[in-house]
Amino acid sequence: MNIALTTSQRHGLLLLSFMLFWGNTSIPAQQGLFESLYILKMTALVRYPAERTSGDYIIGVVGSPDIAAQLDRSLTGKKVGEQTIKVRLFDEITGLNSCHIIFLPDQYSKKLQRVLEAVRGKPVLIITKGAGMAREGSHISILATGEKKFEINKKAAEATGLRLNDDLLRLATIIEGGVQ
Amino acid sequence: MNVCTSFVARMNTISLTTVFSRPVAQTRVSVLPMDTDFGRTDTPVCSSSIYFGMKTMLAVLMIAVITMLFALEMQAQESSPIQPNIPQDKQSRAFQTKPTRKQILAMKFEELSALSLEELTELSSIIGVSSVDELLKLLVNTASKSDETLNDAPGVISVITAREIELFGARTLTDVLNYVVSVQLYAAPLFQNNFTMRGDLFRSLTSKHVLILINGRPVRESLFAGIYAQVLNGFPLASIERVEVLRGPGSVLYGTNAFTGTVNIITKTSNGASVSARGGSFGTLSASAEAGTSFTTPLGEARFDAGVQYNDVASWTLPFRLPPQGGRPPQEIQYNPFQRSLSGMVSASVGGLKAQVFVTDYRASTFGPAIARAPFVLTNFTLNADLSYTHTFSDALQATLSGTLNRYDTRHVEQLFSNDGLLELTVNYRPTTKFNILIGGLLHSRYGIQTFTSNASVIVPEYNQLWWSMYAEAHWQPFENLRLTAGAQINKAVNINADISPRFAAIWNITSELGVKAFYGQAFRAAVGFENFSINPNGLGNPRLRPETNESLDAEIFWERENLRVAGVYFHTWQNNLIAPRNTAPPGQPQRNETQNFGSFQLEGLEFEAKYAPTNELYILGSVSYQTNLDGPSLRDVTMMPNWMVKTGIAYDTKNGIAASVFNIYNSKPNVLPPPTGAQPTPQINPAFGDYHLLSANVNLDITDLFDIAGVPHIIVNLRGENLLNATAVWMPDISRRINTVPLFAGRGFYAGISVKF
Repeated sequence: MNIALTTSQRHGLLLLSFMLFWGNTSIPAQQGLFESLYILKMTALVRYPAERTSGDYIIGVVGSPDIAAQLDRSLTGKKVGEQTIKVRLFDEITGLNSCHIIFLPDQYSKKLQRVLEAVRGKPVLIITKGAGMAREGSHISILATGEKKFEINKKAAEATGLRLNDDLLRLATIIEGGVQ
Repeated sequence: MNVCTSFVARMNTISLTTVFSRPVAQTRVSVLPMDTDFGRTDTPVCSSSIYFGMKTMLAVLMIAVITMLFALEMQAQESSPIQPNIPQDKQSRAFQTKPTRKQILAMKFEELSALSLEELTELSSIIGVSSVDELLKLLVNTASKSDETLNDAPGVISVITAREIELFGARTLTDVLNYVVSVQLYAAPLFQNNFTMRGDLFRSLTSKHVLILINGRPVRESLFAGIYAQVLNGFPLASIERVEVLRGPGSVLYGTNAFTGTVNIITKTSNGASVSARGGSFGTLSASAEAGTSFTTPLGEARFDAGVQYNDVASWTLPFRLPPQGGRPPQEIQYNPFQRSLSGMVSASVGGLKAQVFVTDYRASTFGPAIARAPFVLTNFTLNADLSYTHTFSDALQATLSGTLNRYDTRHVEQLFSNDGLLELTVNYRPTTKFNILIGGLLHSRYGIQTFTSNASVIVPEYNQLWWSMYAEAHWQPFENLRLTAGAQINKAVNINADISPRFAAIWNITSELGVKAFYGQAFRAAVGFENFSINPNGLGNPRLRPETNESLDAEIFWERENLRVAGVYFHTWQNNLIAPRNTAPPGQPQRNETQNFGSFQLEGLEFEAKYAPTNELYILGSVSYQTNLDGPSLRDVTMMPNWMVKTGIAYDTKNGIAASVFNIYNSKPNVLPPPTGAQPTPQINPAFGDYHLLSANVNLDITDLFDIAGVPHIIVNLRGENLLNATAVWMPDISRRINTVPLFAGRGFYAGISVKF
């Protein structure tokens, strides 16, 4: 293939290169705002077995330090009943059993099955982003568009001993079946 | 035929051109004045009562949408506004009505966290869960007929979203497709606008190698295939959620014509409504309305969505020279390439039952196939209707039965009529989360006829055929970061042996941000009605034509972060059994042009695409693509498409009511081969073509947000400039080679519009 660039083509490529590397690629401040708010509100709408209602309330973020930092800024120190929220970043799928909530950002959604395997049978709420994830076994998935903002796999959540408030279920598309 | 007789010589005897090119003196067709009223039906080309029915239906549709808008507004007024549960000491910030975007952005985290989850979901509907989500975090379903991320999709896919359409101010689907990497627009004498991708427009004047889908259902036309001017001009943009463009073979799931690319228009399902109107240069006038609602029925959740659009570009007049004919010198005329369309898109669902209808009534000026005389009026009526039922047997097993009707009626000097029915059963079996298989079967009923409008003499006799095809595709994820796909379609057309098109794909996510995809696939393009059955001596049909085949290798590397997605693609395509007429008469005998399978063609290129949201307000997208093609062993760049395209858009949305953008499309100069020795040269009588920049700028002013007006619908004023660098039209090579150039884009124009979102 013979590729020769004219002046205009070079200008186009330069412009594109400039676009791509203009500024850094960290997450803008508002990104994640509603995810943080949703997770915070869900802490009040999910009931845990008695043994999980003391100690710190751990929100684990898998993979993304940017999102973990965002949630940390927004949520750390807030209270869920008598429990204090702490946000932890998990690079590996180990030690997740201590979490009350695990948030799996969409770019790490492929790790869902491993996460589910790691916390199988434990009362840990799995929150993901994007349509279709609840069918894969996620308990709650946050949707970017559409009338309903959440998908919920109620059976999968309840199978671990969690109880979801009706106010939460009312706002979601309930996925019947799927992975439990 | 020796390849060295060259592409140009063959082009003079091929396909659409030849079928249409009966000498004008024999056609005795009334030439319509260019100022023919859109609604008049007293001319030979629009005498069918079908247009009365069409207009009545669209009028009813328009009334239904407007009624729904009023109903929604009344409902909104009657229902109690959300009263956020804000602590008493912060009641000054409490909203008595639905808050504006500016009010939401002004709120602190503590204030927002005091709201209920329901209230937050209401606010996120206004502001978006995350602005990047709307632009970058998308699910697509064209590559495997199921929702998946771009990174997981076993295909090379680009997406233009409703948000991008709004930010960059597209007026028609033509504009939308022009934003997409590797998509090229072109003009032909018969139809003013059409598109192809990867430079694939060989031996054809229509885009037979590209298939358009609406919500996954094909828009088919079995007489010629690939005539999309009416869809590009007419499809209601306000109804579009996103447009997915799959580049590369798609026949395993979508059959014939999904050859070089597939465009899937996904329509909106949201509980809202909007109306808009826009006018400007060249007498442009457009109006649209869209509304959707959901409700509960005894059969389950139900949805209804509808959109209508009227587009009129009335007086884009420019000097144009007709080619010399019969001793007559080139004749200069004032050409008005108008296009008008009235279109509607309706979809409804209840439980597992879904129905959708797209209908358009399109009129445009045309030179006919031969540019032999002054332009006249072409009319088109297109109907695409689908009824599907999905039954869920278990968590792992789902089946969908779809019936699709495509009715197509174009009239100019000839009438092109086709009626295609599809009955398709698709079964999706997913025994584990790591494996699923899609199996489908399809019956395709083809009916069509082509006659001269003036005397009803036949060009393509009535045909009525039934085809079948079956397909299966499996997706397997043996490891967390590896996904494999294998599938094939068996296609059995009448009179020929069954043909098999396989495909294989592998996707390897090297890290959570970086991945590669590799594809090998085949696609087919079955012969259309006029290629099978034409009795025109310039291009006799052949009922035993084998399908054209496309064998393609694609490799993609992608990198995705929270606010950035970059992808680079290399493709190489080998096309064989190409269908075109050629002279089969023995030497010394009169010419006999019979449609046959012959020749091969290759395409090769690179595509680079990026979308980037460095801040919440700023959004950038850009692409660079290069293609080159080869006819036979040595004839390079024969398709009159540009080798290079660079597309760049930058948008800035202040989030408090002002959004501005610019978009530039650069196309390098198309290659046009010189005529072969002894061949009639193409008359060089119209302005020359060259490379061009198509620069547009767009400003949206949301008056409601800008002035922080609570309790009223969003009123958005739109100001737009198009083709800002060119005072006059952009001319491109005439694909039919009857003349050197035809105008593709109007000169510099300015437009203003207003829309109201409820």
